[in-house]
Amino acid sequence: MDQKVLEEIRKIIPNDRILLQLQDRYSYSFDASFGEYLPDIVIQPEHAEEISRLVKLANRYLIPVYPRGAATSLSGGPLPVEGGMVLDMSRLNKKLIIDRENLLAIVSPGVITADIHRKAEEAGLFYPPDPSSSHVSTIGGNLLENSSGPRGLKYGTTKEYVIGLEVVTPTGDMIRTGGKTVKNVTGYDLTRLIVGSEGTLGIVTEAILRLIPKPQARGTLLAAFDRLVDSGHAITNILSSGILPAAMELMDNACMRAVENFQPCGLPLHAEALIIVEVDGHPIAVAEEISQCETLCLQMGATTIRVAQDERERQEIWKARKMVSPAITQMGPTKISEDATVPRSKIPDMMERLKQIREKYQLNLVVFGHAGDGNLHPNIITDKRNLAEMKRVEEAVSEIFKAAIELGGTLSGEHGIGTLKAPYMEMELGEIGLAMMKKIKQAWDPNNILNPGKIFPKPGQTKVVLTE
Amino acid sequence: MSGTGIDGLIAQLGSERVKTRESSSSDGGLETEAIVFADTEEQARSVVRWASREGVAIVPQGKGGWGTYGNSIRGRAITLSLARMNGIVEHSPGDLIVTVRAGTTLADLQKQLKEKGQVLPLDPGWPEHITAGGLVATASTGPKRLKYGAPRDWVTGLRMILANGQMIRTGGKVVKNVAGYDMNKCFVGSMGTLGIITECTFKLRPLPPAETVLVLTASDGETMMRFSRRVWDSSLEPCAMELVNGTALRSLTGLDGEGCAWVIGFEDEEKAVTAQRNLVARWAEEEGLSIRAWLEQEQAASLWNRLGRLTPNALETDISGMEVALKAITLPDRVAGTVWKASDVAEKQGIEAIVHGGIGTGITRVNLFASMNQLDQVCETIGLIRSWLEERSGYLVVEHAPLCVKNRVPVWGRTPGGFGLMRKLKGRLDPGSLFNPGRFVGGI
Repeated sequence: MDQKVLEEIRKIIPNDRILLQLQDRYSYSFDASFGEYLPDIVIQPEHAEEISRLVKLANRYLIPVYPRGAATSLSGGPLPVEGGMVLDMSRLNKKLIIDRENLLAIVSPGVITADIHRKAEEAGLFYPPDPSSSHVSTIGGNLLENSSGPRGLKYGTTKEYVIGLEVVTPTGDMIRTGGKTVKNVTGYDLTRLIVGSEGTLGIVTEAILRLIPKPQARGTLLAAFDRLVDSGHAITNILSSGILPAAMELMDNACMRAVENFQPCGLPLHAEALIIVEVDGHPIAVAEEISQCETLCLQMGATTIRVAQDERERQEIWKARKMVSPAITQMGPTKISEDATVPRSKIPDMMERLKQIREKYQLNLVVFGHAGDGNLHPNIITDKRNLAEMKRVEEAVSEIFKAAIELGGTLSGEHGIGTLKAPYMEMELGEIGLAMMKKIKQAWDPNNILNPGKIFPKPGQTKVVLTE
Repeated sequence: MSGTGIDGLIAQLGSERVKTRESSSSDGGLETEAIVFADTEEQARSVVRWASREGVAIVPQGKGGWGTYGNSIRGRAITLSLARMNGIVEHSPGDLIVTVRAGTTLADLQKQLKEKGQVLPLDPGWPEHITAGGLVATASTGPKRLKYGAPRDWVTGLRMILANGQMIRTGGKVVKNVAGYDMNKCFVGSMGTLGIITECTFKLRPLPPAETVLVLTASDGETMMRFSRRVWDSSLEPCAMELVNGTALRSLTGLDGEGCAWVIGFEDEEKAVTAQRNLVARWAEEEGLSIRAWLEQEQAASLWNRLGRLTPNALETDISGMEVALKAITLPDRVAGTVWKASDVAEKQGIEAIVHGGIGTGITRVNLFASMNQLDQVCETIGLIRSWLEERSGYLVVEHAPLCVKNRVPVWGRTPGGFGLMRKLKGRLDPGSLFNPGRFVGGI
């Protein structure tokens, strides 16, 4: 780090919140995805004003700026791929206000998402977005990546719950979008353009979230199928029956085995796939809908059905689903997580394509995910030291993306594009579509300071590279 | 019109697609030199290329119901109507997704979805006049926004013509998509200033099997509010809960009413609707409210439809008088105050006002009906309501008004936060200000 720049930084931030030692910087060089990149400096801001001044300084000296929450990103969102400055947002965690009258929450970006869930529920309210990492991930990261989770099916994604933001723009200005307290404002919807921008269009320093009344009742069932394709049909049949479940999750046999090895949950290991369906709402409607779902699953050939009789049984069913991610990491040292999303009726086709890809490349490819909204999580368990296998993984990943797009889907439903999927953006959006996004980035961030190296492919980059 | 180049456009598209018009001034200041009807995306693109060459601006339009919304257009302009580009492109019930051409009316779309047991749960007024493209461009909502949200929550994909004539597709048929920036959100509510929408893809919901509406009144405001708090603090799930003033109640139901009334609706499984309705009825009785009407199924739906029709629009304007539609936006807990304030201000100015506001949505609609010689009073009323709102961090938009009113009262009110970024966005996507120049907030 240039001494002159460092001196200027010290005028903004006291020394004890500036990290320069290699061992400190190293902790900021990775996230939950693939790859390691060492930043030149790590800064722990406490206020929006500090961030604004740092971003202005970064523009003057052309230093890349990488905001970072809890680093649970599965797409490389916080990775400082071009070095520069990491902003550790964990100290901006002071505000978590629930406004019962107006159904709002006002939060600092460093607040853990599960704390918002808890506080809202204490007030009889509900913040629906529930990424599987919500017990550790920060709301700032959830917003910028538009991370969602199982409840997206009925309740929509994180974006739909953001009313307004306080943002530091890529040129260092502090603005409020969406108005501080009002639900709609005139003009372009800057709020929802910044949400999901993977930190490339602004740094969120405060957010106003919409809460909804807590559903009165929930009903949950688990159904096992001997054939994967039957589970896919069960899902589409439930969706076209007039029921809109709060969540509908799928696990294949490999995931079940992984969970049973990791923490036994009594899953039916004879089955090829299982689905978890949850409905919520008025107790009378819930009872009726869950029994309809049971009938529909039986018609599609379900071999086992378990309906939760109380909250404890419900938690048990969900525990099996939440254990999948940690359980499969036990199967090998490297995990490549994808989240290709297809129209819901194409789930059986996508499952079939994934099966072919697994066989063709001889990989340990397991599948689970939010089947109700078409968002599957194919995970490849591998070892990055096995170069021959990694080459096959690269090919398999490309084919997964291709399959998703051919079926009318998208590269990513909720993890984000980040670094690894950037080479495929043009395949999905076309040249003009990608150029339009680039125009927006250039208009707002003329020096390309904010989270550079994400979303947009480098010239000539057409394929994921997992090997050196 | 010769020499303006419109002859060239007629030669290109045929005279049946181009109607030139002499200027008249009855339509709120958005009168253009000609209206062009495109049958296909290709024709619409050729109009864009022509306009770009000629330096004439384009006002994109559906059926024209919201044709008075916004500031006057800067410079020369033509209207490009997409009303003839209509119909469903693809409905895939298993995906709960539909794609329609932009000129399809909401009423037609809902009718066809209903046959498959599905619905697009957006309910702005005048569904036979609002087209899919117009709905997305204006981001209009109705009372059921309380339960179902706004257009931005239901649009998953769009096809657009950009200012340089290129076609672009944003989003798609999946309900979760984080591949790059969410351009859909950028175009929803952009008032046709960034591109011309030619196709819209929406998420859908299953059609709720049962629907009910209750109309409740009380002798005083205190009782009304106590009841509302009780509903609000409960786990009831109303799809809409509107506070309507006496004038609105009379127009809506023919019932007499001095004060305000609650119109509260439920949609769900039949048993869940019945249980919630019975509970509300019991609470109303306990709190001292009277149940003035109790409507089921089609009758309930028809009441919401009539409520939407209380707001005037450009196609149904009574030109013998002056009609103004205002949208007030506040925090949800200020809606009741806004309904009372707006009714009171108008009454003191001697103007008939139909006012209703959604508890929970924060949107209050104020519709003014005056005679042509009451211009001063109308402008005074708008000004007083707007300053009252702005003091309470709310704001007011004039959605429909004759030009004489818009000449004196700003349409959009204060400039929003982040306006600099908005201008940069417009500058990059429509550098020549081809689409709706000046019409939107801050003169974008």
